[in-house]
Amino acid sequence: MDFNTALARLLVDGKLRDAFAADPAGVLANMPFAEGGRKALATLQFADLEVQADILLRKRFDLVKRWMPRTCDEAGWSAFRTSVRNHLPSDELLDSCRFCEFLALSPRLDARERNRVRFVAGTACFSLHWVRRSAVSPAGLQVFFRWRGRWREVIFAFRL
Amino acid sequence: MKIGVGYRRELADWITPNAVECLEITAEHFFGRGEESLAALAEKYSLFVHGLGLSLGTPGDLDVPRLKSFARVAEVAGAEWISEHVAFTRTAEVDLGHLNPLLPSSAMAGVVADHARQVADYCGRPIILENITSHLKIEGECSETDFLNEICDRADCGLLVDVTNLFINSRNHGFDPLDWLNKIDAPRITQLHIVGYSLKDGRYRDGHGEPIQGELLELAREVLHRAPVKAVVLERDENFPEAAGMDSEWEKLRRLRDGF
Repeated sequence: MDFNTALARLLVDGKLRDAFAADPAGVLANMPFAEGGRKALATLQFADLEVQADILLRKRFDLVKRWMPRTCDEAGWSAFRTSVRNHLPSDELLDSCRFCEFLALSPRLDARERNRVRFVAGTACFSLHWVRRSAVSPAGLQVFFRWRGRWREVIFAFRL
Repeated sequence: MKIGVGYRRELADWITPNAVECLEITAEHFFGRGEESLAALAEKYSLFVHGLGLSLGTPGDLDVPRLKSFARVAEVAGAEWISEHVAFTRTAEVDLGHLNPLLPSSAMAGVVADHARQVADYCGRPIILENITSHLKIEGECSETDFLNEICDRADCGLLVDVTNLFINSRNHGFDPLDWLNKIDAPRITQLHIVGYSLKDGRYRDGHGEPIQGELLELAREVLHRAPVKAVVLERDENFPEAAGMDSEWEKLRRLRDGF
């Protein structure tokens, strides 16, 4: 293992960072270094690692925000941080799905955004949802369909 | 010496009527799209192409599809030069999506220099390399300045000094930025980046969203005293001000340039 790989693991794996904070030598002993770098990692400060890791998480948050702007505004950065801190980076859709699972029944989770993220991340050709009235949207039917790899969304609003 | 800004859509309206002399294009913003608008910019401005994700510090082969996309942007832009960071953004296991510090060593200098040469050769344009900011203080075989000097020597390339990154690192890691400048190979410095820093929880941060502070302008002047800088670029990515705010930032750069 080289320095970059070891540092990257520490930056993306919250549980590994916690273990490093408790026993840095023990964590590094379990990393099979093929070259120099162990000494440099041994001198890292946990607080510095957390700040650097948060910068990476912030980038992921910004990407998720493109899919779920209302939910991200409502639930906030710290909720997102908690939801993905122990999950390796993949893509923004998977992070978005994880954030939805984390918020689950929370009123801060925008149902329209959750439905959209789940549909786009999945493989279904069609999906239909009744969505309740919210502060910014009327109640209605939210319909998704997929054709030849492209997806579309239509909302039939009911202004009662 | 030219002064310019990093091109962002949010600044497009401000850029048009102003006497901007050069623009820095972020390569990734134009991967697979926007060639017409890029070509239009190239007709009006001198362009530099700046990369974020070639990950020059990752041992092994460069990401070829990404390199091809980067080269295409450089070609359409007719870039005077291209630039990347002395950093890694991915490993064989994970794409971190952000710049991370390298272990300063002769072996790593070789990796970065080889990759820099490959990128320059592939794009057919000179490359310059940028110092990054990091909250991690990495103790390697050599100092950051020796590391950067060795990379630039081995790649025979220029240096892009991010004044803000230098200032932030000096404050967070407790060193004198002038000492850093005295040790860097000044004739290699081709371009500067500058943007205001932020301060949160006792740490200086590189949010790319604040007006340029006086300390940064002072440090930039110190660089200009020492090095044959060809361009200074304002690198604003967040918290975009209204036109008056940008005018104010531009005036700072203009005064900086006119002082030399």
